[in-house]
Amino acid sequence: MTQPLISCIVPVFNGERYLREAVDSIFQQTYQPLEVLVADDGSTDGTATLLASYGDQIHYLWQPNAGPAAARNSGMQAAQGEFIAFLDADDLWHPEKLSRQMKRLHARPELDLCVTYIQNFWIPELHPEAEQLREHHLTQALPGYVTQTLLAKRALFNRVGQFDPAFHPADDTEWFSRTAEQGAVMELLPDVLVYRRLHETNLTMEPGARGLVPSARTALLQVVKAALDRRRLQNPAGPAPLELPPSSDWRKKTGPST
Amino acid sequence: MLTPHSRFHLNEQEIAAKVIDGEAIIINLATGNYYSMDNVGAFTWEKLAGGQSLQEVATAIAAHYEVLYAQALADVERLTTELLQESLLTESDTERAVEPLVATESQQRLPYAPPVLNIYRDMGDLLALDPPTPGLQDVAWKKPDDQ
Repeated sequence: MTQPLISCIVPVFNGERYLREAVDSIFQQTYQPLEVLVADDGSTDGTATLLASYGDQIHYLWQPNAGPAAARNSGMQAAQGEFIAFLDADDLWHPEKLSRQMKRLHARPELDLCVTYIQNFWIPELHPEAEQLREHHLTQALPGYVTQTLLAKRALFNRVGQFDPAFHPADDTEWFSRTAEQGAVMELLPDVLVYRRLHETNLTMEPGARGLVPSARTALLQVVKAALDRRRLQNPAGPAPLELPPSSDWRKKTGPST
Repeated sequence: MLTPHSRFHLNEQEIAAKVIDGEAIIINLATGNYYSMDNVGAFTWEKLAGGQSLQEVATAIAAHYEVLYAQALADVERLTTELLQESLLTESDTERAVEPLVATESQQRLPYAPPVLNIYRDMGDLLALDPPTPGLQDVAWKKPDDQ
């Protein structure tokens, strides 16, 4: 029986440092068939040269710099698969990520998407920062409502829409909240199948203090405001709560260690 | 224990807050809970988070809205208790000179409704990965020729 094609989209901007590891973790997937699309968002480093070494194993897309949301959307435009997955250029997939997710999608045909738990890991040079956060929940495996863990039916994007660059860098959170509001059937796999690398050039870091950069905080606040406005339109008596899949009690650890 | 001279500040590392289109939107990044307050609530939040004392906030409310100072103070105290319970504000140590109570009459005071803190606890998992870790240099996803 032919398995459905999964399109794996990697948005990248100047990501040559960790890109090969990320792409190789896609090629190491136990699930087949896959197509790999890399949406280069106007990189000026060795990204294009690195990707050329993969030959026709990769569908290379280039666009003038427009941000990661636009790059993901461009990747979807070119994708041929019945299912869509994303991986950031500095992160890694467990070899069985896609096969375990597809198993669930087969078992529950009503599912629109599946996400997994995600584990942050620090590059060795940032070990002091990792130690500082030893007791913080960010060192635990966490529910991964981010694009890196997502496997979704392509048809879902036709229904709920694509990523909205206006909410950068919280556009993935906005997409998930919008998708949940529209009644998408979701499942959160309890397995850690994605590893998020934290390094000096991650998108939403802030120097010298715990938390998001101001622009990322503002984006998150705008996501919440937009979500409340949408839900109040649908239900003037008060916004209905989002219904997300059950998760573990991961918030036992809160706050940074001192 | 709250007194009319109590002052508070935002725990800026844990709390993200902004008034958007007249509505105060607040996220407790440590818990994933989020909150909204509009009208009198947003007005009150801005002043409390800005460090004004309960007395000062109540005075301002009574000047802008059709409410007596005593009622405004009672409502501000109630709201502040909720905000403290949700860890959205922290009491400040800063001592300031006690300002004399001046209740001014305004020609165009707005209709009053007690401030309400709307609490939402349904997006915690969506917000789990925000914030990422601190202490790292921000390098935004930028155009190639940007600084």
